[in-house]
Amino acid sequence: MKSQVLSNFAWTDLTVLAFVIFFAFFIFVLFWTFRKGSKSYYDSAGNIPFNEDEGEPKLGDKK
Amino acid sequence: MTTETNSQDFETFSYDDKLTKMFVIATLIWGAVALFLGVWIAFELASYKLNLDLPWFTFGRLRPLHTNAAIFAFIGNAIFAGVYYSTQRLLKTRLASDLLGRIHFWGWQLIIVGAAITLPLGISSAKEYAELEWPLDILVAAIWVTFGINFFLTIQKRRERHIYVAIWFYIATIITVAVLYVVNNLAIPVSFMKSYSVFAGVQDALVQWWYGHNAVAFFLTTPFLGLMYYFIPKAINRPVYSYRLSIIHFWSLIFVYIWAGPHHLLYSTLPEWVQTLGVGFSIALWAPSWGGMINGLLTLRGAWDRVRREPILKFMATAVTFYGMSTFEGPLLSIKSVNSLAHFTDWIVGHVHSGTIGWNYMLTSGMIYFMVPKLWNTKLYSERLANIQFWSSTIGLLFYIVSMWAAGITQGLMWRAIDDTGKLVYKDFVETVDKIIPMYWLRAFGGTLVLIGFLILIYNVYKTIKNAPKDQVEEKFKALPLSAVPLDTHGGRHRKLEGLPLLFSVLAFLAILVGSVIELVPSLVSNQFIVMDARVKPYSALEVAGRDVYVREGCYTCHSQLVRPLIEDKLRYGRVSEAAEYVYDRPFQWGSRRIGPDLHRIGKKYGNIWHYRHMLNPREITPLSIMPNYPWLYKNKVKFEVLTKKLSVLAALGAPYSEEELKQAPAMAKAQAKLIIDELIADGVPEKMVNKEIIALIAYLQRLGVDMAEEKKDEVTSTK
Repeated sequence: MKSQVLSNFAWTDLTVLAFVIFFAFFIFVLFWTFRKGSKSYYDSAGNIPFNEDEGEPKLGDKK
Repeated sequence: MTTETNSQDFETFSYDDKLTKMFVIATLIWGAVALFLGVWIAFELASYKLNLDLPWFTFGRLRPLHTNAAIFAFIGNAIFAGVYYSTQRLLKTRLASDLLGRIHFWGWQLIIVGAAITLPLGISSAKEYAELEWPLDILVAAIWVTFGINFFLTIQKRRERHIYVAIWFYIATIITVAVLYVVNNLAIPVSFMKSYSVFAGVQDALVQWWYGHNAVAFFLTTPFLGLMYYFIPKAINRPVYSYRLSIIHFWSLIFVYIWAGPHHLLYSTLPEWVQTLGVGFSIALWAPSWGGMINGLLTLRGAWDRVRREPILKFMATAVTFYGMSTFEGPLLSIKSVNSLAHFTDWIVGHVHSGTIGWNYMLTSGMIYFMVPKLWNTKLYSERLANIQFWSSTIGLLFYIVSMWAAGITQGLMWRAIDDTGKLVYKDFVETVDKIIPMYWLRAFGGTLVLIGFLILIYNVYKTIKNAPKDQVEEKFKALPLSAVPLDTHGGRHRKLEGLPLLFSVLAFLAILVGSVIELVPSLVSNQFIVMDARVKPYSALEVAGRDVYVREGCYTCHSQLVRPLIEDKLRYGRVSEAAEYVYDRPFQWGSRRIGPDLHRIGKKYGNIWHYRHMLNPREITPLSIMPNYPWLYKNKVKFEVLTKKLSVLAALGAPYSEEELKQAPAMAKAQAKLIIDELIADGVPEKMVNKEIIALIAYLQRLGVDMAEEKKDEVTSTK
């Protein structure tokens, strides 16, 4: 049964499916990353490597 | 934002930098070993005499040692050093367990020593970059899990809510390498140091290159991108150019990379749709890779004067540049028409080294120059020496890449040169080898410069540590516990995701799973794309013994077993390979580089005496050959008694041996050896050679690719 199902599987469709999954995923990440109001948050996240030696671990601290 | 906190809320902690120091030292030691091995085998190709007629020094055994040492010992230790250093600082916490860290360190070194002993002894599962046999594989998995546990526990006790992008790359590395390594090394043991892959033929090839390419992706690339996102901002003292870009970079890179493996198997018997997928995603990969490169380089914007002056930045900027170059070259080489020229040539070898030396070696050097003075609380001994290393390595690398481009394209064009009458212009394979020998010398010279550069680094670090203050105390830091860190109001859901390591890890796991499942599973669960052919029979007992010699000697490092459906391959080697022919090949032995000719149609091409004399001294038959001599095959005896066990394991994996064939395996092998020796005696070979390994190897070579030959002869002539 399983092998019968698999033998009718149209392989080429998988290529298309893979592309669609990837494209949807990519667009989603893109929109998510650029969603409104995230700029200040990402700016502060990018500064984490510079927070390490400080007493106060506040996001957004700049050296 | 109001962050009113009492000073008593602050927790005091220190970092486990001792562990980082240990990994730094290990990186330096194994780096020297890996690079030395590379230089040595480069000279072996330039002059076969350096194989020394000794089994442990032949190219076929040392090349796996070089690749494993470079990837797992040199770059592996560098990853761990950088990961432990940056993770603790990014999470503002000490490593969860000092003990697990030590187990990780010593376990990893034990694996490396194990590899350094077993691979030259020929104990190899003959799958590229996964040559270690099953006991070491289990150890690798166990130590990797130890590393992962310690890492995730450390994340749990962090004092920084947000998990910086570098850590994401580390998480993806830990998860994916575990999946890849375990699946690709699934095997059934025959003895303590021998096993047979659970996958055979085409399926083994697919799994191997899914692993092989993603070893590059998730061992040589993602951890180093994480390191890049930490060390470049730290070295130049400004945040990464675009944090948003780094997020897009991360998700698209890990999602896309996992699909790219089949580009190693173009024009093979792998189903066409899998090849197409591999090519498509390989080309798509160019975008996220360059996104990362641009992000790295733009972090240095406006500070190029410092890049010119400071060795650390010099190494890092060069590393990112080479990352950009090799991730441009990779998609290019994945295009089918380009691949038909470049595959099996030195172009690929050059490409790999522009990544490993240009990207990994350079970033590692920059990272070490950054970390060592901080770790030992001192100043770098000599900037001048660091600059000398930089130029020595960079010039050496350019020699390497350019000579391999020249060698690869020259040889590729010679292979496919066909004259007006439809015949090969360079009929003798060895002509195409002889032509590129000068390039082998140049490559070896370039490699030597890279090695010298690394020795300078070692000396520089040694002097730095020697001048460091003797009483090293762990520096104390202060931070609020996570419970006291206020939640940000803005950011919403995304904010939460990036602060939830478990959910994040699951999502990253899903991202790599999608590609793996779609690409691998249909091919693994169903054999329907391999048209089984009744003419293809499993190897006889003696041939199995011979095949194991072939595997042990690493013949696949120089010889392919895959005739591609290309006119030049057909003319040179014969009938195009078919999937059905490989169903009993455990492991598959398609190879990735034709330093010597393809062997899939070698069976019955020459007489037994040809092989007998050729293996003893290839130059007696082909004067210009660069193949090593294999005198020990004429001394070592075939271990007939283990053949029953070997055949039983193969039978358990699906080879249709009869009861008698299993029980009588040693006797039947001896009978076949007798037939071969009877023929050789006429040519003056002494009869006592009957039980030697050379006879088994001849049996295997004569069997290669002949099963489907006879009946199809008419068809071959009619298509001509």
